[in-house]
Amino acid sequence: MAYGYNLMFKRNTEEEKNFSVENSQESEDDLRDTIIAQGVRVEGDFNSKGNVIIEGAVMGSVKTNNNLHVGERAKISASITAKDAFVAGEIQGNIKVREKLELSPTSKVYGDIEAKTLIINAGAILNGKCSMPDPNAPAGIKEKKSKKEETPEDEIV
Amino acid sequence: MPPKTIEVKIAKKSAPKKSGASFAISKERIKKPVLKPIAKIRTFDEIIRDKTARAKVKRNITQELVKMKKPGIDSRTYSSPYAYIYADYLKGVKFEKIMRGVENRLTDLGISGRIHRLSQFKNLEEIIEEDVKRGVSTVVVVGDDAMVKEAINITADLNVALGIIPVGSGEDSIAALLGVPEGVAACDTLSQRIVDYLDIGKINNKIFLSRLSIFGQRTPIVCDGKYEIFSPGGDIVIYNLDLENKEKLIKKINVKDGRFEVLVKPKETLGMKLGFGKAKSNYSLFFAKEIIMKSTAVFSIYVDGKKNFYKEVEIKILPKKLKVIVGKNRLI
Repeated sequence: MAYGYNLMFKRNTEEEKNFSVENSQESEDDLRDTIIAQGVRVEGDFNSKGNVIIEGAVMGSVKTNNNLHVGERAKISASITAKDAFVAGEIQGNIKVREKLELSPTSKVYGDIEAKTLIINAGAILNGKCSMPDPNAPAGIKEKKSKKEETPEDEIV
Repeated sequence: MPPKTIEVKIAKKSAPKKSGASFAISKERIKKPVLKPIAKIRTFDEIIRDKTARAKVKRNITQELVKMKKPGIDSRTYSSPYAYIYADYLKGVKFEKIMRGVENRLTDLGISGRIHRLSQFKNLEEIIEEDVKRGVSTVVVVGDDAMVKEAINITADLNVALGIIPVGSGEDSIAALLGVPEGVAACDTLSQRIVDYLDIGKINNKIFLSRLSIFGQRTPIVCDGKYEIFSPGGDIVIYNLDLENKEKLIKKINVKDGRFEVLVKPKETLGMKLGFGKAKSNYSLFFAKEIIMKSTAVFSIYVDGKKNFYKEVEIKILPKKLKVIVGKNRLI
């Protein structure tokens, strides 16, 4: 059934396939939570396979294959990539989330957002572009659209 | 026929003229001393000749024995793959009974081997290296944690299994963590031979098993060459193995995951001390394989509890480098 469903809606993109393979290879140890507490500053490219909880300051980039939790007192100046994200603090940078992004009332986001599911609670501040990929759109059309966007003719028009 | 008369001549001893009866008796009773034959006195040349002859015979015998041995086997290899190294403090009468029990049990189990006793003039490193050269594949340390740590430093670079028999001192947290019971019972664990591979930490060129502690951080630490962690005035503990098994902030410190667990406790502010801080977790946790610290000023790091000073530090993990014999009740 699941296979048929995927075929019908073309959800099994290559990215998802790779992601599932990665997940199967990950051990329990790799998926342990990384915590950046208040009073700690991290600078650079931070990559993790497990969940990431940020309460402190981060500058650079944050990438995780799992969930990201940004606390109320967190201050992040970085581009973020995650599977699911819950934001309650301040982020200056682009956010790319594969599944669900939730902005809490205390959150402040200054950057572009890309997410499949987006929840913005009342009181949240969002300054930036917001894009959400259409799950029902066929992959071919997506590619064509993106190619068209790149052509110089469109820019002139 | 007239009977023949036999004439018996009795020689009469002429009695001394001036001797009494008492003198005659004492003289009869006195025995003459028996003189032993005097041994033949050998000359110096004869002695030397004998010695050389004996040496010659010995030499011939050894030569014949060597000829009889198979050419593939080195005459210097030990028959048993096990070597036991006893701690210095086990010499006394106090441990005599336990040690006898251990030795008997090892013989019963068929895993007895060469025994070394540490002393002032016997170095652990030399003993282990010599044993490994002679074909020993399992080095068993009979002693406490301090000796086990020393042995780990040496065996990490050699392809040798390390066994432990904790005896005496009561400082046997490593053995307890590996599930090795104390005393004679440890022999059974050795004979079961469950081999496990553990990670080892290396700070510059020094090996450590448990942890590194930095108090009052002033130098940022660079993890895996990608990101930098800085918590001014905070405490940092880099774990490979939690020997005391007391760290409850981290669910499980894994000694076989090929990574360090870096625990950062930020400096306590007055607000935090008074309990105003609402932070859910007051510690940070990172995982890293390689850590670098550089500073112009000297900073201190406690390596397995011992204070060391550095200006530049490279900390690496050596995954599954240590081969250890563990028990069924191990906690790792």
